[in-house]
Amino acid sequence: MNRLKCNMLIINFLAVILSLGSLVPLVGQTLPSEDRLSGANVEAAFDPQRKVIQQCSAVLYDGRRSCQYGVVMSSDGYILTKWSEYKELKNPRVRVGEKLYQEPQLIGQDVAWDVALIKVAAEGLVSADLAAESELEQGSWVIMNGSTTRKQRRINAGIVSANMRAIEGRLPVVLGLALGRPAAKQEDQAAGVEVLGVLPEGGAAKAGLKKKDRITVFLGKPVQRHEEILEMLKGKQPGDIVGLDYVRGGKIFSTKIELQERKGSKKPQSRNDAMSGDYSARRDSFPKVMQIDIALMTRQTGGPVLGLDGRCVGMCIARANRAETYVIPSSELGTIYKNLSKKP
Amino acid sequence: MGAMAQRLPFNEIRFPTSQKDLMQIETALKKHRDHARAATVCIKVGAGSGSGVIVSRDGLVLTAAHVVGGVNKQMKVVMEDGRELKAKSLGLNSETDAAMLKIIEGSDHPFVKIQAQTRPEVAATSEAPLLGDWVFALGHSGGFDKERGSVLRLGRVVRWAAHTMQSDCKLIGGDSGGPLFDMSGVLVGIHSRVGAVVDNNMHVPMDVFHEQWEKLLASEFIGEGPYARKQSPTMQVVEKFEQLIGVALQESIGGLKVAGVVEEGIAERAGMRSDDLLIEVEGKQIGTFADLAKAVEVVDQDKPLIVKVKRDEGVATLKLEFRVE
Repeated sequence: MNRLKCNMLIINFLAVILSLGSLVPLVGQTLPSEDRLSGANVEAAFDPQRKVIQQCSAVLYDGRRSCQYGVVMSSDGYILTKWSEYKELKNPRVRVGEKLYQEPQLIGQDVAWDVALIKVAAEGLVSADLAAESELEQGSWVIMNGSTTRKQRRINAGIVSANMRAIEGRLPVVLGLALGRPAAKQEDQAAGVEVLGVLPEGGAAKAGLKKKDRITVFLGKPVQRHEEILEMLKGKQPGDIVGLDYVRGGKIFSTKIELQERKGSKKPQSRNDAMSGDYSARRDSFPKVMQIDIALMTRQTGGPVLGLDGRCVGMCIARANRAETYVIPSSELGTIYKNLSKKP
Repeated sequence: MGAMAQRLPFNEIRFPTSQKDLMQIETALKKHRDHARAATVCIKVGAGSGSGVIVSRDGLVLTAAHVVGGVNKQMKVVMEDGRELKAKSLGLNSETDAAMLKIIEGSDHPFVKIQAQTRPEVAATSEAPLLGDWVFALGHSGGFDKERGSVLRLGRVVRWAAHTMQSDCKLIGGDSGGPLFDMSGVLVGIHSRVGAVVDNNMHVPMDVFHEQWEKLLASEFIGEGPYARKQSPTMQVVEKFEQLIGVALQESIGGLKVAGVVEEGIAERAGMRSDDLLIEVEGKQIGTFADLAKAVEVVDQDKPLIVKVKRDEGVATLKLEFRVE
């Protein structure tokens, strides 16, 4: 009886020690960085996907500095990349695998999606295996480019983190003017939309428009509100010409404006931005994106995004902020590629 | 019943090494994702917003003290489908950042299970997640967005401190007060602070709630810590002013540092730039938030507000124009 009680006490005593052993030392302990989601040990588990990224992602350099990625679309060197960053490169060079290609040729660009198609003189490349169905469930693993050396691509891993959707935003094309309601109260049906200001050297200035002109007809339709004009500009590309009528001093004039591309902005637009660190200059106004939780650097955009099965579910198009990254889904990417490469 | 008995296989290994390990993590996450999301809410307080999570059928919500900012305050919670329900804040702990609120509209709310209180006297168990355990976060990052939904993030517990758990789930403003779950879908923490680096973010562990559950339920304002600073009249005035002119300010040596300016906001149009040091408003010297609150408690928006900022080139006088021609 006594011995049993004694044993029980010992067991209880051990239990307390054990519980202290499992809890107390935890305080102040830190998980080694290599064991974290972005760490080398976890990265190693994604080696099969890394090997795919090694083959089907392109590294773009401006001079000697790697500055963004691309998706290899064909064995003969067609590559998709992020347009707004690509167009800023002074001396673009492209690496696929270990081989460096000089003087890529710009085949075309789609400003609505912010995608450029370029071509390098290559053969025998391994293209990305675009998944027909890019509707990956939320919580699915995704893998994309991380940092890179001349020989080796590394990866970032994370998950699909929100609903697939369009990202509203400012249009990628501009008329080069500021619009508003007529300052005075006007009952007149032909009041139109007032030009509040004209950007020097912009499309509107070149077309002869001035402050206080009133636009009454845009693309053949009478307009009363600023939003009507913006709606009609959706889907337009830089270089497109839009016709309009305007009223100045009681007289009606007709003119044409050549649309220009909106300059990207890294200026913070909210308190979150001010505290977010880096984000892509162009990170809105996309027709459809998949959202992932990988916190990449902005110069790591443009490359392929893989599912766990190694198929390409999309192309990384923007770091929106420190917690949100956007991906063009592979189904859309296939269409963009077809249109840009004029393949049937 | 300890967590030990039901530890998941991927939490028993130091890191995943195979596709099978990765699949197990993904499968667990997907299994609990929808249920967890249904109980995750956006909390609207005044002009700001945060996140929270429902933990009882009758609408008890756990969140962060700095989200609710005070006890017995009226606020709204937004459900996943966009329905807005009336709510009232209960108690908060301004030192640990724990807070509760109650939805006072509707019934039969979706809710999640919370981690049981850790009892050190129970042999070799930790109800709370251990260092390295996989976890997932939800929250209304940057405010409610019905098209997007709440945002899901995966990570691991990377550090334990006395009243704080850290994970490498990526968080941003608006996530505060949102839930952190273990891979069995059990609530283990509430998002508190965004870390200086993206993969180090702070959560209030569930044991902190358990320790003061009754007091929080009884609408007590506990402690004099920093996390309820929104409740102070000073910070209310400062935040209103920040929103009005489109700027983020930080207390700094000799004035208020401009952490960022909002594009096309009043401050930017007046020429204010990041890293300016705000030192004077309408002739009054500004050293702290309290000074600013006094200076801008009443702003006459019919005339410009004159401020002085210090920058590398010297001191600049700026005119903040509220009226646009």
